[in-house]
Amino acid sequence: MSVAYLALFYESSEGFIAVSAFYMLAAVLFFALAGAFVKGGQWKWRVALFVSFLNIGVVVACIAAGYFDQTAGALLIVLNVCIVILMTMPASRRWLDARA
Amino acid sequence: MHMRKPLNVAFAWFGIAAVAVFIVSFIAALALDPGWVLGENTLSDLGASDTDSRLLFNYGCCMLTAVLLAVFGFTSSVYSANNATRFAGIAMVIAAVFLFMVGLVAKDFEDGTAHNLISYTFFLFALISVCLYAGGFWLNGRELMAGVPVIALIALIGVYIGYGLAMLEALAVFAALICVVIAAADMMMTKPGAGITV
Repeated sequence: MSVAYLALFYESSEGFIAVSAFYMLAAVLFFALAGAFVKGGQWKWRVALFVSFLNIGVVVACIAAGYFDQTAGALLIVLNVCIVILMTMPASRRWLDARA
Repeated sequence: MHMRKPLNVAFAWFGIAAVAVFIVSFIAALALDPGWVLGENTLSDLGASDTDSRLLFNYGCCMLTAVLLAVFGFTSSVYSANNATRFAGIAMVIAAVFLFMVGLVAKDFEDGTAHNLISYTFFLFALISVCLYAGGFWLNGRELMAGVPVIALIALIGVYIGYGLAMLEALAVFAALICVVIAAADMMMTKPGAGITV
């Protein structure tokens, strides 16, 4: 979604380099978080949770700084909050802690 | 030795009371000074206002809040279950001392340098305290509580870039108040005697 937003809100200007960098940063954090859930994932539950907090913080900061479109950013936050809720479920915690 | 009669829940209410006193005083001060604009004026401008909001800000938002925060910081340090919360409480007491001084030395005192120095020191210790509380929540196994200061601290960087120092100051104070409420909740839920050595 973050990469899609980057394409959607693309403007041909010098200032857009920073904007695209932050969209890419959010995308990278989401990819990294997704990597924690796969079989043989690299992180324990606490680390994955911290990265999801980091991701929410980055998106909120980018909205406040005016780098992200507000609606697009809000959707990313909702998505990340859903991930955090899923992560708080006991089965998710067992799954993440069992393999790392 | 362990405290015989743990009063962690009772002392945690000092944190909630500090937040309540600040919010009530702030709203009352805002009502009396309609010229104050969020994002354009700093909080300290209320303390140097020509209206009665000066009294409400200096006595209510700063001095009374500082006294309550100092009691809360000290007791949260005493009732802490780990070293991070212990040092967070100490940092909060130091921050409260500087908050009290912010009320004493208003922005219109001389050229305002003393006020700025004191308020920057207050924010520095408040930041240290919030970071340590986040670590304390994390070590206590309350990771979701730790998420709030983490998100708030990162988000405030964006606020500074987007809106400037005045907005950052106002939102940083309100983020700190939310962290105090969470710290109070953490203190209420901490099992008395878990790490108390007074």
